[in-house]
Amino acid sequence: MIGADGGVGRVVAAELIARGHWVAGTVLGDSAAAQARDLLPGIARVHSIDLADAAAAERSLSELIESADREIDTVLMCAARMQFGPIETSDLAEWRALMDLNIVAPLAIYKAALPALRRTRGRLLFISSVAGRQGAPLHGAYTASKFGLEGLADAMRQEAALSGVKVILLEPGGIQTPMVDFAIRQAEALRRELDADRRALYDPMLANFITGARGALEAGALLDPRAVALAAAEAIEAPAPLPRYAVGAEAEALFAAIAAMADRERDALVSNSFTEVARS
Amino acid sequence: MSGTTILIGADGGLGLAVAEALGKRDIDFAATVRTRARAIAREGPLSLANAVHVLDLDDSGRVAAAMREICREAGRVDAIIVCAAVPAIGALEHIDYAALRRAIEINCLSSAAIFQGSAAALRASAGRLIFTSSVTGRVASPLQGAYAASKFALEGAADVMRQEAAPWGVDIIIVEPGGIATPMVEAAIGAAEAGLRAHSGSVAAPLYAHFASRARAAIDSGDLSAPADVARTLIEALEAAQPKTRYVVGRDAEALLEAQQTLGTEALDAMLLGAFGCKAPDGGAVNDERDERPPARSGQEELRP
Repeated sequence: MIGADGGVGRVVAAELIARGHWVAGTVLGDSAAAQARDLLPGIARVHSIDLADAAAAERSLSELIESADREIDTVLMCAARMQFGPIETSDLAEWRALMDLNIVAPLAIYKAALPALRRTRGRLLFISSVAGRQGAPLHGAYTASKFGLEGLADAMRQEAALSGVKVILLEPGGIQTPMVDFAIRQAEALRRELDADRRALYDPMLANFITGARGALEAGALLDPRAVALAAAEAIEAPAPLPRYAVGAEAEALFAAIAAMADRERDALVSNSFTEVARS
Repeated sequence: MSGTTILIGADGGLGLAVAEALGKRDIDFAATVRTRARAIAREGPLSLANAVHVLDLDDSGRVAAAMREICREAGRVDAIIVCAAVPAIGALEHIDYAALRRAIEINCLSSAAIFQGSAAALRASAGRLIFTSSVTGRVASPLQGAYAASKFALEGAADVMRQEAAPWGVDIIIVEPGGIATPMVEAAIGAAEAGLRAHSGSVAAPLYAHFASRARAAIDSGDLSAPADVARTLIEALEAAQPKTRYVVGRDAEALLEAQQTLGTEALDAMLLGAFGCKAPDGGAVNDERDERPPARSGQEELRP
């Protein structure tokens, strides 16, 4: 597991360990590694890998996989990052770092994992998002990064299939994790800090988002990370896994709703609906 | 239209055709090119532009400010047409990180920067911003993974731009061509042939071989769109009273999107691999000539033709 200590990662790791899987994980930094060992008593190994340097991450992960005392069946990427705000005011350096973690790091993981997964005809799982298939206002950078991951993973799945390796995408809706609080804080900060012209343009959208996200939090409408863990377990354990798993009622409902919609109908749906916008 | 249209990437294979089409229709336009030498020379259709600026999309961090300046100089900006893109060809196990990052930078992040730099001007004119994406922004295919990642990302970003810009009456339009007969196709064939030489023993070898031969056949048979065909659609998006959100160009692009709609992921994958003469082992066989052969069990024991 890459990113075994995140809001979703730790729950996925705990679920897989509870099901009797041998799990090794990576986190960022030695103190995070120590914390992860405390948090996940059954985890076999925890290593620190910095995904920001893709080439170094590929080498480290490759060593970790090849030095394991067993063959690896599954590699699962849970590390994620988000960026929130209008595209017009989004910091491009931050956006580039987002693309690095959400698109370039998955390529590094693929390259490191492929030799081992070819031996076991194993599986590679990525956690995408409903935002990988449907964008929403104020989620432009995040949407781009998850669309990009989906395109990358589609080609990976086609190419890896030639050697019997499965590449699988999990697509959850908004999850109850610290990322939602992060997005709300970002929205509040933007309402305070945007210059007057931009505030006039974006304040209604930001206020709308905050109301929706808070409402979804209070109503318990966001996805329990355990739903992602169960979907991951299914994708890992199913004899014939699907290429994509929509995770949660919100994701399923959204995909069903948009399937026959034109772009402008989709736009109206995500611009007016609170819960769909409150994704992370 | 009383203002100016800004054409980004006017010196590329498609950009030149768009410049020519704009000039023929007497549409006032300013152009951007990659190098100072081309801006000074203003050769061919570039001579039709009111102004030619240098805009390097390799570093998105500089693009927004440059766009603001170009828009300021243009005065009223009716529309911006973005034609610049870089390809990235290779099996994902062979793609280097710099190539993926560059595709993301030029094909997606610089497009976001163009939006940032031109949003105020487009609000003022209720204008439109037209991106040339690709059918590969909707349907990924083998050896196009890095390109698909960058174009999918562009499509996602443009979808959100459209949502965020809708209240201003600004239209964000995505044009999705299939293969276009430009120097980029020749470059892609060259990259596939180089990939085949470098990875002749790899599982991906037949992908490289088929990619090159299929692309050559498509050029010879005239199946690719001409740059002028795509330019015509870009002009249509520019002039339509009520533009669509997306325009698909080319029979190949239409067929791929149709297949995606009707087939579902697994059958589409099989169709795409089949077009490369390949099959997944659990689809029954590994490859055309290797039907009887068991799939590779070891990373070392790679399939050879």
